[in-house]
Amino acid sequence: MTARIASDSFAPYDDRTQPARRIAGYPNTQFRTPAQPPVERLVSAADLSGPVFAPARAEEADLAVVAPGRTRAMGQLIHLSGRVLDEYGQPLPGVLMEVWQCNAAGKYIHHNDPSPVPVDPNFVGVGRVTTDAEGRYRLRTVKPGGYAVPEHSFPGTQKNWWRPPHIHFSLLGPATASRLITQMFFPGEPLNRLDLILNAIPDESARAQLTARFTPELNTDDGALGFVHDFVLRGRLATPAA
Amino acid sequence: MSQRTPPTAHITTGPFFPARFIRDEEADLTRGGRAAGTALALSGRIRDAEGTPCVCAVLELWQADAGGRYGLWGRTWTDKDGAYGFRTIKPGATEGRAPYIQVSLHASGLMRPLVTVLFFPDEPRNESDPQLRLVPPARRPLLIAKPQGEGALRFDMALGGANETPFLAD
Repeated sequence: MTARIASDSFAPYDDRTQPARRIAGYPNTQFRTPAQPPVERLVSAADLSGPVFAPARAEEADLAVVAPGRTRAMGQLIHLSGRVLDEYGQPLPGVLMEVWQCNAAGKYIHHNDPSPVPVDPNFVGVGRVTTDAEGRYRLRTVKPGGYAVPEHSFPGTQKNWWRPPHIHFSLLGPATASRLITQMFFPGEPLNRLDLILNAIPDESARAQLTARFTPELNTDDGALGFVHDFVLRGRLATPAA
Repeated sequence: MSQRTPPTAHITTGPFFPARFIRDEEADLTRGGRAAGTALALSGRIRDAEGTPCVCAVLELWQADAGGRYGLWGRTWTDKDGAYGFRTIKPGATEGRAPYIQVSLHASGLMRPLVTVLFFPDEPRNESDPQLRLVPPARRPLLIAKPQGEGALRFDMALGGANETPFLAD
């Protein structure tokens, strides 16, 4: 096998399994999406390599407690676990996962969140975890609330656009071409059907891929519900069998 | 070939990317003394199609060191004026390429990240760079940073409008 840098080293993203760039009812997608066609991409040394980070500390994977000895956050405790894989099912170790979310009532600890929803003094909603040798990760947190998006309505209505409960993930994987920022949704949420962002992805199975699986066998004695969620990063084209 | 699963869909960072993830030292790609080379201050502003500053847009840089070896990463975000700043060095050239810095942008309203390439002024290898040659000639100057006095470069980005920055296909 010879390593090579070629224009086919990464499969391009498929627009059916990725979100539309412009979304009616979400003005920033109109103002910030380039109008010119994208330039053909020469897969470069920069695309095929990526930074290596020091592993996250164990306590960063527990969003439910802000500091040792403090009361845990309000809301339904959850354990979330799963794997980070490439497109061909290979586990990816050493992926730095950055996690952020609102509290159980739907409030972010962020200067950009103007909503009157109360903060929880025992919740910040920011964490990190690094995948282990088998590509596995594990987090503890509380289930985030849904929230009304300020000054945004569902198209053609006067009704607020509500975001369903979701958790944000930023994944820094083996190469910059596999960089991923995404959101994870919860099964059975009535707001999922209405969300302008989730439904910007045309392919139903790609939307399902963003939804965690409730897995009661993984419920834990600390009073947490078990959810499983895997992430798939774009990987180099598989080497043909020799 | 093994069974392929499509990559997880990208979704916008939204407006709440945590300030805790923006660490001052990561705006310095030379941190830890890892990078030999002449220090370079790189700054610019990011505007949307209406000319409005993009606030809290997350920028990630990835480049080679002065010897052409990959390993310098940095991240910051834009302030209330859409302005950002990094400290770095000019990378060495890699095979067949002009020196360049990969620039990735994540922001509220960007459903998928935007990726582009910054080139250096007064660099004779730009003429033959195969990526820059894929950019329509009239738009190539938009990817070449502008000198801002000794040891400083400016790289503004526009997400729309007359001087829209060329971004690469994903």
